[in-house]
Amino acid sequence: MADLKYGQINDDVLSAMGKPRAPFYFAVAFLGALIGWAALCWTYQIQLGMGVSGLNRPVGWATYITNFVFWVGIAHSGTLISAILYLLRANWRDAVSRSAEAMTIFAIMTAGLFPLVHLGRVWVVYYILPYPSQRQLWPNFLSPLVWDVCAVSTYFTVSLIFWLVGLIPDLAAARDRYEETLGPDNFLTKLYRIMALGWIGAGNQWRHYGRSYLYFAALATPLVISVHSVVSWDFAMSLLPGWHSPIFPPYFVAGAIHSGLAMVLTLLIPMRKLLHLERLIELHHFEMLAKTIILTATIVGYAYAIEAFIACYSGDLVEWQFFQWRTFGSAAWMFWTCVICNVFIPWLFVLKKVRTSIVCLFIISLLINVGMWLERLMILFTSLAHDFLPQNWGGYFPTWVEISITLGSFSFFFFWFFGFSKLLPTVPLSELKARIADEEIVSTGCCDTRIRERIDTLRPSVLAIFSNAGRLLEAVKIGCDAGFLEMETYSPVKIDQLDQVMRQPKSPVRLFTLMGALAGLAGGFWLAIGTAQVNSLIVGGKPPVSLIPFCVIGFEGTILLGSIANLIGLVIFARLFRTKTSAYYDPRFSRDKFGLLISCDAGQIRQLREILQPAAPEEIHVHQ
Amino acid sequence: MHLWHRDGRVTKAEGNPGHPVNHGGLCARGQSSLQGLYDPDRVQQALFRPKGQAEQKHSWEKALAGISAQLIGGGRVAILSSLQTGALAEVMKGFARAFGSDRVVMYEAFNYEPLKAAHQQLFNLPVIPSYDLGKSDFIISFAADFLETWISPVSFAAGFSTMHAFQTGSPMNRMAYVGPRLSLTAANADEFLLVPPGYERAVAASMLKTMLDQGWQKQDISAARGAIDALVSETGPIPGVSPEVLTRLTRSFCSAQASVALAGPTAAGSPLATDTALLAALLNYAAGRIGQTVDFSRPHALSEAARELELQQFFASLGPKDVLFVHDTNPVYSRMGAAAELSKAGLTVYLGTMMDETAQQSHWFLPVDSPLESWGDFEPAAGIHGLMQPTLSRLYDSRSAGDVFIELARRAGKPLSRTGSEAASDFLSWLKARWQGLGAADQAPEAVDSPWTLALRNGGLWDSAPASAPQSPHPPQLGALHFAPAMRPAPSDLVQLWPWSSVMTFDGRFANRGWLQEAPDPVTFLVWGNWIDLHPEKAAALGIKDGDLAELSTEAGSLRAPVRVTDEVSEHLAAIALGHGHHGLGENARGIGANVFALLGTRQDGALFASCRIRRVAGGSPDALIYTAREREQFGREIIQWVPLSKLQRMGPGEGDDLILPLPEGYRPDKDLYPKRQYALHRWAMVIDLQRCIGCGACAVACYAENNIPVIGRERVGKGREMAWLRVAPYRKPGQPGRLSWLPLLCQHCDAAPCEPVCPVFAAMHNEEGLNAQIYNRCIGTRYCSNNCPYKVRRFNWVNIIWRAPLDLQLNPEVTVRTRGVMEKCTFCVQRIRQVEYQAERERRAIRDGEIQPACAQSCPTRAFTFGDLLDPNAQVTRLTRGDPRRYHVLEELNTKPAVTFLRKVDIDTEAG
Repeated sequence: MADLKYGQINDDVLSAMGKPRAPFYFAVAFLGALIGWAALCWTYQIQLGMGVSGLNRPVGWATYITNFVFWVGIAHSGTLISAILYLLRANWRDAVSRSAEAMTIFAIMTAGLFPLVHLGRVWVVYYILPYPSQRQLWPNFLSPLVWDVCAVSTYFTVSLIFWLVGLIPDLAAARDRYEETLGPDNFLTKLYRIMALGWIGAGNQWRHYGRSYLYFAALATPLVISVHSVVSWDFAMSLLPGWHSPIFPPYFVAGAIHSGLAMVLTLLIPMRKLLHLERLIELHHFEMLAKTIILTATIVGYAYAIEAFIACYSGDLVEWQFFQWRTFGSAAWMFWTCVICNVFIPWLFVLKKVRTSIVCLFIISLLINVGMWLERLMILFTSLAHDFLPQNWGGYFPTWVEISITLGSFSFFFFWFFGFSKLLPTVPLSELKARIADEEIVSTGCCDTRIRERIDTLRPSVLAIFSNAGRLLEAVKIGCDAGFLEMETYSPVKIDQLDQVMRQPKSPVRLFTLMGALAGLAGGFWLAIGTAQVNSLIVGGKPPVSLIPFCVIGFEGTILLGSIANLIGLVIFARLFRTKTSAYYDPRFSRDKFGLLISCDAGQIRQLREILQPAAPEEIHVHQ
Repeated sequence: MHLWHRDGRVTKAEGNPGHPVNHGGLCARGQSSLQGLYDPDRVQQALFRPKGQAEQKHSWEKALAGISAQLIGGGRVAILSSLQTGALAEVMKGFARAFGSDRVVMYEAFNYEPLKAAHQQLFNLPVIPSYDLGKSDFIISFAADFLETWISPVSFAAGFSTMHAFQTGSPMNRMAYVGPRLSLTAANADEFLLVPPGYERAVAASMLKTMLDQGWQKQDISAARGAIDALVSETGPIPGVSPEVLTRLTRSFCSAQASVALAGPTAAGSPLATDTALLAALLNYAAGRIGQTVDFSRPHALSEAARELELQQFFASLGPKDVLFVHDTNPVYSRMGAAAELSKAGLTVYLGTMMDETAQQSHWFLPVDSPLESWGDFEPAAGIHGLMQPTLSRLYDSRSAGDVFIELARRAGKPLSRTGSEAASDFLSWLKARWQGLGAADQAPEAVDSPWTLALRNGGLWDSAPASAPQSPHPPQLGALHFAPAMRPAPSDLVQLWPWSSVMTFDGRFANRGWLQEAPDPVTFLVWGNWIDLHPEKAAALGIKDGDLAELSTEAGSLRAPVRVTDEVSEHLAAIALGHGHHGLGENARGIGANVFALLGTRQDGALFASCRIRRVAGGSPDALIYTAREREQFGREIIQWVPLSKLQRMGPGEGDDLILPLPEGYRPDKDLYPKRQYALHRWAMVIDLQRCIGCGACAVACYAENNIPVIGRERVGKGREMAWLRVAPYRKPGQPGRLSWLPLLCQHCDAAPCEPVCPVFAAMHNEEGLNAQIYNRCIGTRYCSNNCPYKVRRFNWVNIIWRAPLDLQLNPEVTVRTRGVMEKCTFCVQRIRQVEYQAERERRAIRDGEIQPACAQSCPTRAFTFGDLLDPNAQVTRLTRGDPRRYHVLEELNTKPAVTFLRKVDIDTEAG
């Protein structure tokens, strides 16, 4: 990638969005058929009751909830890569982050189906939503299932916003490319024009955008950790042996990231090949993923070991007998498959030969997927089948309905991912380009006064076009030194130094985010406490207002409203509510050119042209 | 029996608390009478099946005309009926007499021939005496399953629990069981001697010998000494029973204040069984129990059931001129060869409700009333008269059997008359006349009500029954005693058949009732069908594994059933329950299990039942055995707890476990994160005495009846879809595999219920009276509550439930019928609580302790349940929960604060004697 130019990155990514060939349509049709079959199976189940599944008493949850936990887990690595690694400035994330985020979105969509599929009465699922109803009965905010609803829907909303915000500059690039190749009236051009929200890469936009993105990342990071913690509380908050364990949140989060990273490999290895993205997504990126997998595998292995230790050390007879049964009883094959697939095999990545072999990477990623799916089923089914009173022990085997719906869920996921791979830029091209820009920039002194970033369209102005970020910066400095204090920049990438040179203040988007977050925190508690007082029901000996569980709701509120306020701030300040681009905008600004628009008096045009010469502009246009 | 009645239909059967036999309790079979009434497979119209032609539907008019024409044309009358003791028996006898016949035979598959034969031989009384178990200190049962089916199980269960319950200050009474199979009764015994089949008599003989040797007898039986000695020496040592044990049992039997020996098994008819009965009767006699615990002055109604010889004569007498009436009995199913014998009759008229095997080969089927639709009476033991009233109008175009006989006689020109002068107009007038006569003899002159009115009000007459002094029968004739020769050791490829009678399916007449099919066998927790119990060594020798299909064959016939390999039977035994394998009756019965009667020929080969071949056949699978609880071990978890008697005797009231109660005082700062919960008016709670519970499962069936619990069916139950809110699961006593104890497990209505907070929509919540309530129309079906219930007492509606008409008429309107997709559970019968609360409110008084009886507590024959209000300091439930030294909570360590307290079983340890 290091040798690529702005244009090459742009073209590689956007060419992948070209018209698909026949096999693509066949694959999509096949997936669609499987989804249809699964949908039929679901209606069959709704008609006849959950008895068509292999669920029973005592095993009330199995394949469906396994799928839910699995897909929520898959959803984790996307935001991990986008948010946490972003904050950690791990630049290798760029090449894979877009696909990982898309995977997140589609995985949550898939996961979200399963709480519905597993419900005995899906037609009254809205009882679980916190909306004011004439029954005056609100959901029970003590229930981990309600936490789940809040956590997963928050996660979906925030991830979706985060993903879409990340897409905006790339969509603008796609818009400009389609306008060039297909003309302004083509459907695709119009579509991407709308989706790009009038993005022109102006310095002003980049400034708000950068701040906003940073706060998204900051909000998404605890969210990632929390979502699977909440999911794990579905189990840990119960009292079953094998479920009731404080290690569950870190155990589940690590497992989720583990499976998510494996799924990234599973998806990207073929995608990179099929979409010819080898120049952008390099083996180096996969190697970094593999190294991260070593870490997550180790955490998962540690969790397995701790479970064994606690079962033994706790002195709890039921727990210990249960653990022995899980590891050596009739379901032991599941346990040991999990240990081998999730811990021992991923550890092979310690060998450089293994982690640099595409074949090994792909196979191991598949094995981890299988192992992690089985792990969820193993945790779910064994605890339920073998709890306190031996008279209640039972077994479980899935039926064709559950298998069909599970296959359908995989099809559903891949269906969306196939669509994504052809409709949207699969690699965040603006971020990749930013790496080039980073190298081009040489440090420049700051202007003496703050530059005004609003161009008066009534006054004449000069637009200088560069193909190098460093030159742009240089030109800005020259301009302000010469006393031109009204300038606008256009750039395909975010250039942090521009704000310093132009002495721009920090974006007020952050205040929006703070206000939103505080409102969300208060609102979450207000909702939970308020509804608890309306209901005034005592459950499980807990008084209606039980603050500890309500912290979950408060937290989710914080993140959700914080993110939404952040988005609103971004839209307002970066003026992302238009479809038209500004008059001075050149479509190349989204590809490989940088523009500097300087406002001046009519008599200063010549002077400007001259003083800009040291920055070697490729073109100079004068607007009068 | 009492019946709950709503909108012109009956919804629930209960024992009549005033009745001297059941004292308000009712067994599972009694509960199921409603399903007999509402059986969807009941025949609704008279049917005629001419020889070689298809079945035709006919009106009553045609039927009566056709049959009476046959009678006028010189048809000879023969009547075969189920046991009848009252007015109907009179009518039938009168009917037969009118046509110059005395052939009225009461056929019961279990006629207790050995008991009658033995008692005739010894005392010249061919009857079944009354046994007073409640008065006994020591019971020894020789394979008599008196808690399940033997003679009068409900009253025996009550008697047994009375004698066997723990009472402070009095020593524990005991029960010993001698037999080849761990039955429900055997599992309840304090001592279970597993002997090979046929060796029961050897144990009895050895006990008699010991008694004679030690001079412990109270009555002289020395004349029998020779025969006893001969039998003991001929038999040799009894496998598995040491002489010390025999001596101890004999000493216990003789030294008890009151003891009783009972002889079984229920279905036996062979000389070996007669010997056992003889020896048991001798034991009772020698120990002075006749007139004490064994009362010949009040013979049981089953004494009237036809004996073997009568039956043989009856069947032999049938011929082409005969018009044979078969009433409510099914010999074609339960007696080998009966089909051929019955077909000798020229015309067979079946009077009944179900198209059973006998009805299938009859010419006429006349649909008669269900017992719940008709007038009738029954005398279970001499002096106890029960009156049956119609409890609802007829469902179909049926008539009472008595009316049919009266009408047929009238049409045939020979009207029946009870008094001899006036012709009876209908059965009701006959019945009334009979009852007016019953009480007239000893009615106090000042009594306002006639005996009939009294009986209508009370359900019968028993208080005024003559209390004749227990009479001693004639001294036994001991000189002529002789016993059947000892069994030859069976060849190794043969097994001894051991047909037993299940507490649920009895002799098979109730096999079409879903409640009984789906009620688990108490010992094995198997449902829907029967199976062969085989000892592991025998199974290994035959190459048969658990779940394999095996074929049992005798010269009489063969059957196929799945095998359960278990050490709960003696080594050369193949035990299998009677009552299954119908090809008639209806949808629930047909094709379920195998008919063991088919193996029971009349041929005697010296075995107690029969020796039969067994071989493995292809087609078995582990799924053939349908368990609803697979595990009976406790794995050290102390779910059912025992307390040694010696320790218990040293404990005063209030000592024992410090329970975490579902009350504010149950708050423990070190365990609880949340504050106390106060209850304003009531806090309902229950106490279950495990020492009293015999595991019969009547409570579970009562719960089905009361709470509209659906029967799920064989296939689905096998997949874990059963809906029982209350299960009485068996657990083995650690270290004593021959003893089982049962845990009646219903919702514990925990104060800190784990099921409640996990529900996202408040469908599971706690009400203001401490009930763990489930709001069905709020439930969205996440099943989380069930997952999180450590007792797993919640039930999910996995499938659509179809109540086959008219079974829907049985539904209790006070209880919601649940749809698929919702969770349901025990409510402590909240509808009954509310009813009593309204009643008390209207009468402006407080609720009386014991006034509220949940269905399980109401039906329990052994009174194991106590229900009440923990906030009432004087309530029995409070007294037991706070003060009984045996109190404990199941899984108390989870701090769920359950409202159901169990009382430990008592372990009679050696220290206590």
